Amino acid sequence: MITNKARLDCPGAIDRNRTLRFTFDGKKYCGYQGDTLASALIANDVNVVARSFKLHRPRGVLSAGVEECNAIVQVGEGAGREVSARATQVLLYDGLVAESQNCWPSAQFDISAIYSLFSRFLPAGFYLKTFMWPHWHWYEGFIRRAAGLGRVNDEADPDYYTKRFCNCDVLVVGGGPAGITAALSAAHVGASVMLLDDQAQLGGTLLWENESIDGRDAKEWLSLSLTHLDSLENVQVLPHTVAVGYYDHNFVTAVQTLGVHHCAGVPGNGPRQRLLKIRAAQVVLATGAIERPMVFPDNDRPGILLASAVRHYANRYAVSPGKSVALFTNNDFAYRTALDLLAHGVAVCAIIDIRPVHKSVMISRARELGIRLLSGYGVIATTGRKRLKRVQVAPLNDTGTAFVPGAHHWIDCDTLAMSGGWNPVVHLYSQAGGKLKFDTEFASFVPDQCEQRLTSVGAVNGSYTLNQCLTEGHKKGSAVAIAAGFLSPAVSPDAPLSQDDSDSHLQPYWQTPAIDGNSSAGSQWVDFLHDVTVADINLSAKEGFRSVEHLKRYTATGMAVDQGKTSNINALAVMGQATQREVGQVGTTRFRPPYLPVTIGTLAGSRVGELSNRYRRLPVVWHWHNNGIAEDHSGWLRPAYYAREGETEEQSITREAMAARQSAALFDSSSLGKIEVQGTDAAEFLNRVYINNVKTLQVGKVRYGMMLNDNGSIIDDGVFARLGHDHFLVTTSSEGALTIAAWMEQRLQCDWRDLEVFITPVTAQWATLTLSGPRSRSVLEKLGLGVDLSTDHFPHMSVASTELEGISLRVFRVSFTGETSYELNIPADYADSLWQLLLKKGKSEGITPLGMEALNILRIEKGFLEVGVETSVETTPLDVGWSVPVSLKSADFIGRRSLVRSHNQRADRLQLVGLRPQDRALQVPEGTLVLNEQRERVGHVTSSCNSFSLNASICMAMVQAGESLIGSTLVLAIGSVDHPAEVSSSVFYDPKGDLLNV
Amino acid sequence: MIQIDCPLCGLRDESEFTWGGEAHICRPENPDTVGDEEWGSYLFMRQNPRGNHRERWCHSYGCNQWFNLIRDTVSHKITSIYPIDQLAPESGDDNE
Repeated sequence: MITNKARLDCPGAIDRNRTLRFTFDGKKYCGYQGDTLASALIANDVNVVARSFKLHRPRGVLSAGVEECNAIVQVGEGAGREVSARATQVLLYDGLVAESQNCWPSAQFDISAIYSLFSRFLPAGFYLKTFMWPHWHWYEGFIRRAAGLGRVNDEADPDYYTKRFCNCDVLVVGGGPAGITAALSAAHVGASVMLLDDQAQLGGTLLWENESIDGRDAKEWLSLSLTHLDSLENVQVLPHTVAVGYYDHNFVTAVQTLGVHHCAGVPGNGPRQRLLKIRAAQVVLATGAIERPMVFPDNDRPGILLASAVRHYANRYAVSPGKSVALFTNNDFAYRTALDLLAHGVAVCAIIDIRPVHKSVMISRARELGIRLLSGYGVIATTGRKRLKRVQVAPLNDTGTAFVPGAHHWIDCDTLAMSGGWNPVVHLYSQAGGKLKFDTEFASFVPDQCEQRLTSVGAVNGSYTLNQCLTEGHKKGSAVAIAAGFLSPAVSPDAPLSQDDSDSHLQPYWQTPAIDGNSSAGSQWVDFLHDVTVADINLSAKEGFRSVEHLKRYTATGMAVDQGKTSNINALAVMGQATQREVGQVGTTRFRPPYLPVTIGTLAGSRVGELSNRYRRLPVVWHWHNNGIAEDHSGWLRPAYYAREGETEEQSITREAMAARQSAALFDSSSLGKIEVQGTDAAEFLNRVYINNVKTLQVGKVRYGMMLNDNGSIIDDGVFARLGHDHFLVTTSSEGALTIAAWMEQRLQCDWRDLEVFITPVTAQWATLTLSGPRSRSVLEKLGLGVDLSTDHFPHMSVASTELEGISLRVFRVSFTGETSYELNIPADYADSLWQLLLKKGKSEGITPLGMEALNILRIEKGFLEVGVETSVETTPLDVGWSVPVSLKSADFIGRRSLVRSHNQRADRLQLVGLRPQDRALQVPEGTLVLNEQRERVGHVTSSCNSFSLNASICMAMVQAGESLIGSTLVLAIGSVDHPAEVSSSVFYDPKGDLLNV
Repeated sequence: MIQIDCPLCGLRDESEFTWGGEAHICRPENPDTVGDEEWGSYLFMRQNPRGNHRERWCHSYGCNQWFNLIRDTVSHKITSIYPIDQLAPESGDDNE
């Protein structure tokens, strides 16, 4: 049998026929369908639901909405466990398991609560001030653990997520009365409308206020309006969808929750959430307002709630947070809570109102009902450790700045409902770049002006009566639709009307004055989540952290999970008082996305696991059926080496490299960038982008070249071949394939529009298979290509176009290994067949497939540089030994002028050299620092290997004035050991290049 | 994410475009004859205005064509889009 002690007799919006069981901190409870976790906990009289962040003080539920900063819990178990969920936003389901956070072993009994005994010694900035020596980072790990907010779930998320792009004429954010009327009136004009609301049920305050609209119950009006919206084809209503980010040009992101609560990973449940990326011609913000707490001593005890939340719980969930409720307010709104509670049969023991006696509809009604009114009173103390027991009140003087001495007394109550006014939810408005202004009557920041096509309606503007909300929504909804290009309709329906037009008569009350000159009263909490008090803010002001940005960072107020939804305005006002400024002068921080925390999975969408980073695939698939070990290499999956039974990785790599030096090796270099450059000005164009002379290149010949940017830095290198007078094939590094083609295109379109040149990137169209080694020619001759491959006819740096069984084939005699090599370009679809054919034909010559690792050894032995490995964004051709080709060329090229700038001529620049460690077996990690005799840093190792050909450890390195140091000895600092190494030329193997011309 | 009205393809999201920096940067006609300072200013000195900025964009994931536009760096309002080889319309010179 269900025992919900705090449940009221009124029906509420819960279904008492459907009991739901749930567990909180290991204890079993029951609630009803329609409850939130928070309302169910209140129904079960659970007072302490969490501990505060710094001092571990017991905390109870504060609110009934997204602004909750106390009841932050972990929900679910195992892989589906979610941290930092707001109990007020978790819809109850059968079997729900939740735990409190930031406490051990439970919120009821928390060992770390001992911190609260030392609260006086833990002021703002305490950790930063105390743990300075020798460095904050020494302590950070320990302190962060002690201040944890829930345990991160380190299991893979069993749920999946999707994304959707949407467009609409009018996007309405917020499905309360203002938002609904705005959507209805925009739709009436003919605009396509999206209406989002963060709650599972639309209606906003109408779900829990007792109001009437157009002479009927507001809930009935709500249901009719929603039915009407549903029937319109140009309207999409999206409940449970929270707009989290507002970006430029009316781009709004929203998170739509689709899954049934937290039924994580249950097959067939569909995605849990969907990220909406919405582009709207016009946006209407109807985001409402959040009630703000009153600031008084010990205002953080369980049992002290926002007045609107108490009303919300009673009217909607039929629960009362207490049996005898006092109210503390500075405006008329709290009186509604008192009236509603009385109607539900809950005892209201007093309304403590800081305002002197005045006349209003609300006050008269309270008086008629015989409620005890303490006008001109403030709360000066509270008692009750895990549940409020008593509040102490005292009369304020005429100006409200001090208490009348000796007149205080105690009131017994188990709940205090407080209302300090309203904070408009201006987060999205601010994210949109909108400016805020301080509304003195409303005592809060409201939207002022914004460059984007954006308007705000309802409580976010400080329009707090229902009638104002309805009128504004109705008027602005059609106005923005017309602004989006729709014609004003001939007949417009009248705006809905409500009786609620009462004023709130708010009188700001930002903090409680000193009591009888005694400042030792309890702390006045401003930010409950971070334990920030009035004293902390005063200290911040005293220490000079007066700007709102400093205040936030120094005290942590308004940070993390709740982003100061309840605390910001109070904190700014207290800072204003401490520095003799108005709140408006203190200003606010600019709000940043997201409005509510977003699960990373939602942002990733379907791009997880294999889809998170798609590799480019080589056209040859033989590798993956023949023990090729796949590795990521500049975004391509390439074989690092081919494993063989009985071999270590190193042995395999050595075997492959030996084949290239001794017989023949076959290498898949299809990722090599390939760009066709054609047109009457092709030679002139390339002459301007290469440091080399291009115009003198004969048809059928190939040249190695470098490209620079205009700073003189190397951006790419590779060979280029002249296939015809006006036809070149340019090869680039794998990384440069896309960027170089785009860069060339930009030059032609923007700078040299008079040149007739066409750029076609063909990397994916042509595969490149490289045959390398002393026996490579014999292998290639077996294909019968009809090309005389002898060195006399087809020397190093030649190109020929031919056919193989009717398939186009281009043969380049170039080398990246130092041995006689042929690069074969064939249409990608035939790459796998050609690969297998070459392996078959070359069997007698000992042909061996070669992976990336072995290739790297071969190119280091030859000192061939890899752009981006040897070079940085500063490296010029002069730094890597290419001064001669540059000085021989008279025509201008990109980067040429910069090479003679003084900085690029300095003698102490990093220059490419070789290093030979004296320990021939030494393994040198790339990036190893190179030191001189004085152990000063003079450079770093860029590439290294253990060369079997030379039986030595060799490195390529960038060293200051390196060329002048050739022959001398430097030091490689590996770990704590120094290893001497001789500086040499970076070409270790066959320095004259004789083998290339065999 | 802003939207840009590509002169060939129409209104598209920023993610389809590549930004090319300030427009109308003139490379000295004869680099050999200019001093280090003038060359350095061509390479590195940019206006970086608060307000209207004339800049190059390319619709890389569409027609792959470059064009110029004037964008307000504060409000991101785009007031003019014009061909790559044309001078900026008058309105773009507010910050000169």
